[in-house]
Amino acid sequence: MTLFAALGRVAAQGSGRGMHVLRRGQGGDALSYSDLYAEAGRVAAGLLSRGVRPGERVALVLPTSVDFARAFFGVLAAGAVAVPLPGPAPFGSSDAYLRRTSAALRRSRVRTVLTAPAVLPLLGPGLSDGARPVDVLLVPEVAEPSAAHVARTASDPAVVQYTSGTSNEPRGVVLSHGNVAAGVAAIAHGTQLTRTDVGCTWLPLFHDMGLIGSFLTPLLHDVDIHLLTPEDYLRGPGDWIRAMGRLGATFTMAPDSGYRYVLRRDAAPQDGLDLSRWRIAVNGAEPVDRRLQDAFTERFAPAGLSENVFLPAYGLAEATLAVAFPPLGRPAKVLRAERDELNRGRYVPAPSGAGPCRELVSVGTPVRRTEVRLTTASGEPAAPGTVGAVEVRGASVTSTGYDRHPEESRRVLLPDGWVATGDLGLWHDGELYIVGRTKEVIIVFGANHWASDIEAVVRDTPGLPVHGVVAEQIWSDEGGRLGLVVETTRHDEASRRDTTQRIRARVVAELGITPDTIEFVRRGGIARTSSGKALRRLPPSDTRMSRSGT
Amino acid sequence: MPQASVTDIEQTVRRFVAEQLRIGVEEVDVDTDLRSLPRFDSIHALQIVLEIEQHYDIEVEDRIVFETSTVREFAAAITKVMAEAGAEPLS
Repeated sequence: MTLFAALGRVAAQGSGRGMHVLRRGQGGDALSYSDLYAEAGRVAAGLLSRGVRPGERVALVLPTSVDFARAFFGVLAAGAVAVPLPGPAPFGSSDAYLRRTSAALRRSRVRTVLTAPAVLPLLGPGLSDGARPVDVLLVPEVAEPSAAHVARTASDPAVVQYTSGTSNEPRGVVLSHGNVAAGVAAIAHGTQLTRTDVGCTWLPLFHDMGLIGSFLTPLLHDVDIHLLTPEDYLRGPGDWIRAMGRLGATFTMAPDSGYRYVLRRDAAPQDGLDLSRWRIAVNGAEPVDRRLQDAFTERFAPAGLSENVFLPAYGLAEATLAVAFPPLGRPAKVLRAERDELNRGRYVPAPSGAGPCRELVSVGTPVRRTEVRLTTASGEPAAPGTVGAVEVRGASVTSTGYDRHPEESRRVLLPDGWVATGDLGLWHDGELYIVGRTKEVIIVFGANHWASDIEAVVRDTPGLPVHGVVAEQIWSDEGGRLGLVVETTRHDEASRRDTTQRIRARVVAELGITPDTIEFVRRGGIARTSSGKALRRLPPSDTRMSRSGT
Repeated sequence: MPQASVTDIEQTVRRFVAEQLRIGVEEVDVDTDLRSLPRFDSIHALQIVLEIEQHYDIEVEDRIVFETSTVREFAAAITKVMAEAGAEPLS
């Protein structure tokens, strides 16, 4: 079944349920799933009359809005493929934004972009796919009076999910209708979603957890959803929690940093806050920290929050989203591993109470229609308690890899339908524990940034005598952060200060993130392979290395 | 809405930026590229915008801060928003 047909099935119920967009914590636009089905058909008609062809990629650069839903399903109804991309970041550079967005558009041969009035002035003039001009259209202007629908099959592509927003070397996972349908079904099964559930999230819809988990999963199961914009959440994370209470919301999802941010910014729960209906807080996209989960449930226990609300999950865009979930309603299962043994690839329980150890949080067992295997460096299945490369296979796992990127696709597509995740894990007592990763990704606030992309941005800082640079993952009490190691020949304090400021300004303008630390080393201070490629330093062994989700 | 000169607004922005980034206000010159300051990322940027909104009781649309990079530019954008807001009848 295609996703548009699945929406049609929901619409036919005529339940009146739908999506609601909250603005600054208050009620905003709403759209029932029945109306969404009808209106998406009208967007499809407009796309078809503009010459959009089946299988063609159409980009969505839209804020969290009902227009996002109209555009997303409009593209699918037209038989085309939706490519959600981020909008520009505040205080970012519009040159950098256009350059990065154009790189993704070129990669996916996008000729048509659907956007919103706030973004149009930035996108309009500067966008090009390299050869032809790109049509940048407002969603309401595309819609036509009568609806259209182009039939597709489950194996046709539905979504291209750019895994790290955009970068200079963009990689977009191609997911078929069948992949996404299986992915949302697995999440609904693992969370025991029913029509009495109510979702409330703030994740951006261009992010896989936002698109698949918090938007498509409830929508395709006729479950009400309330979406805050990520900007409003960042302004006031407490609005999210208050909305959960006011709406009687039962489930949400966020990266570890997202919950952490609430604790940091928001005071004790107000009188009258009732979180007793809240039953699931999926915790993914970052390593899961049991201490954070405990602190969060403790903070909101007076409002009736269940102490077992957290669902530490593992997944990645290449598998649509979810790969493993623990059973519902139980305390986090935690292994305390002897650190040196773990670094050697083996789980040995740490002696209780003493010595350095790493806590690993179970992400449970594979979700429905998904298989997980762990493979050692020699290609053998990893024995229980032994660290291996996490490989996945199943109905929701991409079979084609990355959009028009054969080289990267070959790297992850293994024989017999298996896909390499770039993560490392171990089995214990039948459950999966993620212990680290081999892929060179820096996670900041739940978003993936390719280390190579960050390093290129730093190296290209104008007027900067940077010779080598390595981007490093930092885990702080604010969650995932970026650290840089920079080789320089300038050693006086004034020029280092100047270099620091230039690097920060450039990284924020390009990527919207800032390095927490910049460590200067003398030239030659970064180890290199014989081919000159910088060797990443090993990640620091801390207690928060289990990684989950993307 | 409080009356405020451009200079007042610049001083207010400097103060909010310094508080948010936990640095001294003297480190935030009106022509400093805000992005060069420690901890300044898109999250802190949004929090600074929120403080400004609450202080002046205005709504700053995201698009006006896309290309902004200094206190001077930001204050000019706020001045414009306040002028536009002031020109409309209160509902």
